[in-house]
Amino acid sequence: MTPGTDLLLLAVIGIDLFIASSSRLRARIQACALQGLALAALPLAVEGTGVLSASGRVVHVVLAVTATLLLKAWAIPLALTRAMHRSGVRREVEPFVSLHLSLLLTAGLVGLAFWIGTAVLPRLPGVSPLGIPAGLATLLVGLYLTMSGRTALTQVIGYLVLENGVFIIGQMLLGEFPLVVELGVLLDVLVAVMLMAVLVASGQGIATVREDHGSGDAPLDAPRGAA
Amino acid sequence: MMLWLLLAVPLLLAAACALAPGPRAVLAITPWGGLAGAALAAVAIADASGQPISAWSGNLRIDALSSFHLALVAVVFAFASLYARAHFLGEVALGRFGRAKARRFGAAWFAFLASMNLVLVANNIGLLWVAMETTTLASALLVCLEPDAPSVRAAWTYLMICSVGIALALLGTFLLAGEARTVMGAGTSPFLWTDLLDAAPRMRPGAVRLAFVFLLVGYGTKAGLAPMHSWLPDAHSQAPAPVSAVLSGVLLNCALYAISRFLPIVNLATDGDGWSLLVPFGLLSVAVGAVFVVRERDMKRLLAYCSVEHVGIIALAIGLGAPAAALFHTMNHSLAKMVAFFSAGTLAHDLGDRDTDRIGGIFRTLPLPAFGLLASVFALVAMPPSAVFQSELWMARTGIANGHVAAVAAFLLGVAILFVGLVRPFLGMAWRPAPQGAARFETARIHWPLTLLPLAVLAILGLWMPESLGSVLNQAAAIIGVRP
Repeated sequence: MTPGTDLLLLAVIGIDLFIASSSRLRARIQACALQGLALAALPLAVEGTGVLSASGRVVHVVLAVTATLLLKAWAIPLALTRAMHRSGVRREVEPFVSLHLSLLLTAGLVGLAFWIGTAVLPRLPGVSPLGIPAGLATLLVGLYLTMSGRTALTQVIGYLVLENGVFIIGQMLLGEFPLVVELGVLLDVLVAVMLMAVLVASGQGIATVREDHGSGDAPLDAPRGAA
Repeated sequence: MMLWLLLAVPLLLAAACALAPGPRAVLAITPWGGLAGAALAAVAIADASGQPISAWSGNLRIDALSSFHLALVAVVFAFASLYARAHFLGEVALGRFGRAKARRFGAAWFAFLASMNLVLVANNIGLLWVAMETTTLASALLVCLEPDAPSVRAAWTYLMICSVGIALALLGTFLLAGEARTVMGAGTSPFLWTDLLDAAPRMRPGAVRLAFVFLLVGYGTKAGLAPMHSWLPDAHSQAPAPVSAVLSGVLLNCALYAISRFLPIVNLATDGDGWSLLVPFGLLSVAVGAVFVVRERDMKRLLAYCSVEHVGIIALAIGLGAPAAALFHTMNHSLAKMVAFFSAGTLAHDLGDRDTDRIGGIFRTLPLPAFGLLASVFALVAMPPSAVFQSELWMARTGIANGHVAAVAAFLLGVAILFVGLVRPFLGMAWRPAPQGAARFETARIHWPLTLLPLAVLAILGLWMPESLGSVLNQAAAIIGVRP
């Protein structure tokens, strides 16, 4: 445990709040990439860089950190940015709740997470007191985004944030995962987001979910793959 | 070795399909691949029949429970592969199944098989999660094989809701492993199911209960348990017929399998709380299935709501302490639902319509699919001599013997509503006269065994249960039904 851990966890919570209060999708995607970066650094911060000189673990840690970095901070944001350009939807359309209210709600969720994480659940020995609250807060904000988002991309971002929250909690509870589980989960998330991005960009009117789709200007692509 | 082959062979077939020169090559690989997968599963099951076998330092393992589900996957997948060939060959002739689409289908089809096999042979609960999410990814690709707006929408809802749901199951997995880590000795892993089972009595009940709630909601979403079922009717009705058959026939079982894997751990740690948590979800699914079936007109959506109902029945049966009846019901539902989706798929495809209030005279235009659909629907609503009747009776009797009279009464009411709701629209399609000048459609020869064989098995099992099947069911059920 190093002071770096607490800083990273605080950054993760800050990003949660930023994502919920921004309406531009590009900003949300970039924030998501930043959260991926923080997540990749988390195992290094938790164990200290000393782990890199400890034999046996080094391959595991390097692989996990590199994979997280590549996928969450680079490949996934890139796929989302492309999907955003192809779908032509750049910002959240008429959100169900105004951005101010959204920020307030998210702050409430973070508060709830801190209450559960510190007052309800027992304190875990050897784990940063911020760990479980930060993970829970991220999870709740992610769930909130998937449910309140009116654009498909916001829902995808919500899914990613939710997944990040689950990962932080797992990291805090377990310290490390078996490598095959960690890489498998990362790969699944990557493929899931890629698929979601393809569906969003497919021009079949899901880019803005729950919106009336009879409005003449619905983008129409030729059906793909019907060679 | 066999365990690796169960995963490697389907993956190789997927690669072969992805590189196939054309749609006909893919459709030549599909049936043989399905049969090869079934043969491999048979050998693996025979290997594991005496003693569970494991590989990869305990990460993979096959025991009586996985064998049972593996057999169901193998049979339904092989039948669906044979059906898929006939189904898509017709599309090729019409120019609607080109090379790109065929490659996409073949690759996703066999990747889907590999991921279902991995779900069933994973002893590492993290790997189980990875495999389960992979089934969603592969099958979402199959749901939107036809890239029209309703299918893409259905695939989107499916992918989104199931991924979010399953993320909660990952949290449950981490919570369980985190709790296990605190009580486990050296040389054991908090991710291995076998080690978890040993350590279960030492875990704190509260922590395990919390983990199981997340696991139940997460994997329950994938199983189509109400109230997390909202994606199911769209995905199962928009997918091409062979895909629907596998989705409804065995993928739902795989998700229930995951839940039932965690049950003994939870029950050992909490003195039997796992069962009581399953009952409300089961009852709600039965109710939702029954209510929505009554209001639905679309053939395939009717069958999809019927799946919600049956998943509820299976969960309820486990919750009422009748795991053997639950497994018997799982098998009966898989066989009957597979034939129902094959027949409904052929009807919908040939008639170009799925509205049960409009279609008529199906026995004149398409006698075999008409017979298959009606017979399987009667089997699904537990009309004797269908084996479904036997499994539901078994479960109701065990439930009453265990003192759950109210739950059994509610279940029987749901089954009665389903009977009326499901039979009425399908009988209408047979009784209503055919439209003027309707011609008789040709049916591919392969449809005869695909339709009649499973129905014959269901009828025989409804009258007589072979001793060997009974012992297989009891062995598999003993794993779910471990008592504290």
